[in-house]
This record gives sequence, C-alpha cells and structure tokens, in this order.
Amino acid sequence: MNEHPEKPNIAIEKDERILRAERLRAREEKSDKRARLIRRIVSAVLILVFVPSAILVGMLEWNDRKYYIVSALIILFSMLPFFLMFEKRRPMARELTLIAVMTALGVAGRAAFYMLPHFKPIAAIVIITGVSLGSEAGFITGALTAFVSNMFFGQGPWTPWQMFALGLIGFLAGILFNDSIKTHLKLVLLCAFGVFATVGIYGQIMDTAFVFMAGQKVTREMFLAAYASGLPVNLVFALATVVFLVVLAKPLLNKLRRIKQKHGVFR
Amino acid sequence: MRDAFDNVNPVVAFVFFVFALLMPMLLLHPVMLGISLFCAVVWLFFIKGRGAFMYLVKFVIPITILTAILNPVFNHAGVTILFYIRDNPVTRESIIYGAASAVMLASVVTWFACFNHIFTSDKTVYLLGRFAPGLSLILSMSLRFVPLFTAQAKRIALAQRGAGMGTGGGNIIARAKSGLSIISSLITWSLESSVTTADSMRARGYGLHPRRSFANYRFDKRDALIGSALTLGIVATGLAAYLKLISVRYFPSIKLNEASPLFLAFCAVYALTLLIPVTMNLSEALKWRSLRSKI
Repeated sequence: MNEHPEKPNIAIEKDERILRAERLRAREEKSDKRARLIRRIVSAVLILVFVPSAILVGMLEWNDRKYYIVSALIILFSMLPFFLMFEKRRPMARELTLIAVMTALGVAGRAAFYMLPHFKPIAAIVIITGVSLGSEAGFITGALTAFVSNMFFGQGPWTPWQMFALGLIGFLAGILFNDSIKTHLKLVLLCAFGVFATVGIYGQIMDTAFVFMAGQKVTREMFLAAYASGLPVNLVFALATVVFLVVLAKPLLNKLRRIKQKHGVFR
Repeated sequence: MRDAFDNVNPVVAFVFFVFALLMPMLLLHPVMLGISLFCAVVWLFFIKGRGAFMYLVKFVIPITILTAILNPVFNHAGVTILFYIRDNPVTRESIIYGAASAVMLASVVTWFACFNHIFTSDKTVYLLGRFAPGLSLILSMSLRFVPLFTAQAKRIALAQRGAGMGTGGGNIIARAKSGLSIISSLITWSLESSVTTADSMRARGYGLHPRRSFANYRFDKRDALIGSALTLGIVATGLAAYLKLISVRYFPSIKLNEASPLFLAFCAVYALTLLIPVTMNLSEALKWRSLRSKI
C-alpha cells in the first residue's frame, strides 16, 4: 500500500493556502488603514470638540466654579480615544493576557507593600510595561492598574485622575524608551524618567485633583500649599520607583523580551 | 449581609450612583448637600452596620474638617470680614463656602463608600463588557490573577525552601534576596502562563463571537419601577435647576433662592430619590418581620 497517495497534492494545496492568506492579509490591511483613519478622526473630535465644550459649559453655565466636574470630564474625554483605539483594533488574546498580567503585578505590588505608605512599585511596573510593550499597552496597563487596585482599596473622586496619571506615565515611557536597557547610562535615564513621572506627572496631577476636590473656589495659594504638602509623599513614591526600576527593570525587560520573541506578540 | 440594592440591575444602579455623585457637586446648595449627606450616611449604616461609624470617624470626618479649614485660610473673597490672620482677611462667606464644600466632599466620599460595596467587580465587568469587551476581559483576568499570583508565590517560596535556597530568615538583605528570587520566578511563571491562557482562549474560539458576561442581570419589573422613579427624580432636578428654583451664590455675598412651596416640594422629591435604596431596605425588613410573625 502506498502510504501517501495524495502526497503531490499537498504542495499545491499549501501554495493555494498561502495565496489565500496573503490575499486576506492585503484586504485586512486595506480595511485596517480605513479603520485607523476613522479612529484618528473620532479621537480628534473627542479631544478638539468635547474638551473645549466641557470648558465652555463650565465657564458659561456653571459660572466657572465647577472645576472638579469640568476637569474630570476633560480627563475622561482625553482617556476615551486611547480606550477606543485599543478596542477597535481587536487586540489579540495574547496581548490581552499579557496586559492583564502586568496589571495584576501592579495591583499585587500595591497590595504587597501595604505596610509602607506610598512606597509602591506601581509606577515602576507601568513604566517597564510601556518601555517593553509599547505606549498603547503602557497607557492601558497604567489606567487599568489604577482602576483595578481601587476596586480593592476603594474607588473615589480620585479614580479618574489616578487612571489618567498612571496611563500617561506608561504612554510616555513607551514613547521615550526602547526595550534595550544595556548600558548604565540608559538605566540612569530610565530612573530619571521615573522621578519625573512620579513627582512631575503623578504628584502634580493628584495634588491638583486634591485642590479641585476640596473646593471649587480655588486660589493660587491653595495650589502652592497642596504642591508643598504633597512633595514629601511624592518623593517617597519617586524613591520607591527608582529602587524598583533599578532592581526590576533589567530582569523584567529581559523576561518580557523573551516572551515577545518566543510567542511573537507586541512587535 | 446582602443589601436590598444589590440585586438591582447594574445599569439602573449605575445611573443612580452617577445622579447621587454629580448632584452635590453641581448644585452645591446647602439644603441639597444636607439631604445628600444624610441619605448617604443612612444608607451606609444599612450597608455596614457599626462599621459605618468607624468609616465616618476615621476617614470622612478628617477630610471634612481639613476642607472646611482649608477654604477660609486660602480664600479671602467675600464682603463680611470677621477677623484677620497675618493681614489676611477671613470672611464669613468663605467660612460658609468652606463648610459647604466640606459637606459636599463628605457626601461624595460616603456615596463612593456605598458604591464600593454595591458595585462589585462582576457588575463592573457586566457594564463594561457591552462597550469595551477587550478592556473588561483584561479587568476580569487581572482580578483573577491577583489571588492566583499570591497562591503561586507561596508555592514558589515553599519549593525554594525545600531546595534549601531561602530560609525566610536572616537579615534584611538576605530576606530581600530570597524575596527577589521568588518574585523573579513568579514573573516568569505568570508571563509564560499568560501565553498558555491566551492559546487556550484562541483554541476555544475567542474573538469569533461577541463576548457575553458570566453574570446575566435581567431587567425585571422592580428594575422598571426603580428606573422610572429615578428618571422622575432626575427630570425634576433638571427642571428645578432650569427654572432657577434652586440657586445659590456664595461670593461676594451669600444669596439663596426663596423657600417657595415649589422648592420645598423639589427638596422632598430629591430626598425621596436618594432614599430609594434605604426605602428598599426598610420595606425588605418590614416584609421579613411580618413574615416571621406569621410563622
């Protein structure tokens, strides 16, 4: 008996399959381009139309006093395009699970260091995610880490601000760095970014949010007082971020690079 | 104990919380703020029992006092000057405004405490799943991963101790080193297992069909009843604000709207709307009592 009666056909079938796959990919790329354009328009409309109109409504209708609501609306409108783009891209299952793992690591890290107030690895993990998996995954991981960890520690008027601040940190980390941290200089630069991200971005945003939450009639002195009183907390957070970046950045980036190469995700 | 509001459809519950949270911020009217804080605190006592008292004393009251002090110290607007602190005037308007802001923040924080109890993760995933299937999937997976990682970390620690690597004792540096090696293998394991999870999802047809959530909340008669009561309250509030029935000005001098009968009627509607969960709890308790006396 012949073991492979239709052996010659296999090669032809394979060729046809490859051709079909290529045709499919070309079609997908075409529709992908259109979808990307639509997404860009939607996010531009959101940011260019909704944000100014929120400010206008706040100024005209609410006598310029509802700072918290207007600012929270602005933050929500500027986060929406990121989420929309991510959803519309129809991310692969592997991307979803990797982001979920990084989010869970951030949340577990916040829970593990409960005995040291403000000394948390959250920002370091979000920065590493952004550096390794790109700015989009960095934003999503940052925002969701804030949201999920607040499911354990309590949601509040601070939630959208934390989501935006951490998401922005992950996004910027993805833009500024690529994932080869081989020299000491690069690690130092990453740590410097960590300090800027915690004190300059996270601290600044959260202290501003605190003033908006405390009273809608704000003065310059209130902001100065909030920044001054928030500085020690922010410095502790910055120290924690630097420590965790020094310890975690290299090994974690290596592990992530291995996963990316082995399984072909986030490339 | 389960709250009576737990079983309400998440969409209705979410609209209720948005209404309850936004109104104090938008109106900032002393009477409305008082009603809002009262309703939130009463509900919190239904939810947490004695724990509500501790929550209020430990968390809400400090925030309230801080806000109430912060405003008059930094805000010198207003015409009625009471006294001076280091050449800075402290005005009556500013003190009253600070008190109003403090009550506003207190009521928002208390509503959020109720929200945290009612809005469990499965409701969040259910609500998000319709608009953002990817994000809600990440959300539910990472919620699952947190206890999974904790359990795996314990297993790794046990294995490493069995291999004689870290004994869990020693000085800080030795302990940090053994902790780091646990974290390192935990991360490797979790990244690798995430890919396995993804492959398993793909094999089961992830992405072929719109996602459905595990919890399926029906929209029943009671939800319709609560929803229409809530809609009534929202429409009434919008109308009252539109007709300038409720208005307040804090600076330069304080000016409230007149206490017309219509305004009082609106206050009652507002209070009744915010008391929906408390009413439900009370009626459940009454039903339970009447049923028990029959047995």
